[in-house]
Amino acid sequence: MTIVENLSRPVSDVEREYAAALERDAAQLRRIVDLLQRVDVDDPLLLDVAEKLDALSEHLENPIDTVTETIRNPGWRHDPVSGVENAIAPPIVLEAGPDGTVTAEVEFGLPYQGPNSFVHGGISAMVMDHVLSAATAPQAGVIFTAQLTVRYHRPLPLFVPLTIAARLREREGRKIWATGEIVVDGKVAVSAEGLFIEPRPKAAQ
Amino acid sequence: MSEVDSGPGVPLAAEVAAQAVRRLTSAILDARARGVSNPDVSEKISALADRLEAVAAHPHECVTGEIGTQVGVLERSPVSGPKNPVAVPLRFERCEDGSSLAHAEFPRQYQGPPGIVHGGISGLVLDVAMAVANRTAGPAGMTAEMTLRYLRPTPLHTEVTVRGRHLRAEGRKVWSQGTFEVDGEPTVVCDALFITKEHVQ
Repeated sequence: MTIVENLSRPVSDVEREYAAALERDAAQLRRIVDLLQRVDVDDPLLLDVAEKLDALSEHLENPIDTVTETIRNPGWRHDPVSGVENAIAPPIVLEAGPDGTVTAEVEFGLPYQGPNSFVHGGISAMVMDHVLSAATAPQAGVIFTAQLTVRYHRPLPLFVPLTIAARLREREGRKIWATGEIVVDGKVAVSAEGLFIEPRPKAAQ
Repeated sequence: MSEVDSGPGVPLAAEVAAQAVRRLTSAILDARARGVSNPDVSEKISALADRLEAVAAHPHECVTGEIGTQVGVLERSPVSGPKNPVAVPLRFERCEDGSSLAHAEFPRQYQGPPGIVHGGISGLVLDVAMAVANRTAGPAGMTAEMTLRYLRPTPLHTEVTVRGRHLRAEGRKVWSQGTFEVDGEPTVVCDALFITKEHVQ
């Protein structure tokens, strides 16, 4: 069972197809995010690609026809970590187990590189924030980080499968504590603990 | 105040392409809000990706530097890299007091809760802000631990002042602090410990 399924409300066929189209767009654009790190930085082909991408942006920014049906905007498809409609998200697809543990498998490529051949330390921090937030199982789909501590035990290599896990530790009113880690070859490379705050019920939509 | 990178010149083709990718990333995320009736442009993007794929090197050949023109780690970074569409990108400056400074406005692709910058983005950005400040004082080191405190939400599409400060060093340990500020008020404060290879003077 994925987090997305947990959080999703019933959607119409129109909304579902609309979301699928945006997801396809982002998936193809994500290929280009990676390819830009692997093509000669002076290749004139890049200028041609840029011009054609700009034309597509123009089309989306200034639509000739607009939809009449309301298409809702679920934030969980947009974020920079798991957002399938966000081309800069890896994306990390989270799964929630029966015990509430949230897990994901991911391999990072060149766009997320820090030191040569290793994942950028800031990327690990970003991922930990997101995965711990998800483990708090926010009722409204929205939760705010109050404090997050990230510890780096060993570097995370690019291009190898990493296992990410997080779990809720304690809940006290709107305060929720969660912990998690990123594991490579069975060893903890990054660990984190966080305090999260649920919005007040009236603020939650 | 001096700039950390070489400053603006004629942008590389890869930087122009990265900017176009950033724009389209936002446009895809905003398509619902704009009510675009036919948002599927994936086949056209796919055809462009195929053309790039035909001239691209294998990922493993690209980890130590650039293909073609030599540009550094800052150029490809997911925070400051002009040729990396993951990056805003931020341009860090070094202030006279040794701190690092950058200004950023975060578009939709950095959103967590509606209208608010994703909490993880501040961890990503402040890690770099502190490393830049540390490098001014000596070796930057590797991040060992960071604690982020979120004081108030950081809004999207609003100027955020990003600062990194080197606090003190002892042996191989370096302590640093980074902040996000909006309208002069801190929104996120990050305290971090970095470990260097050699003892810091």
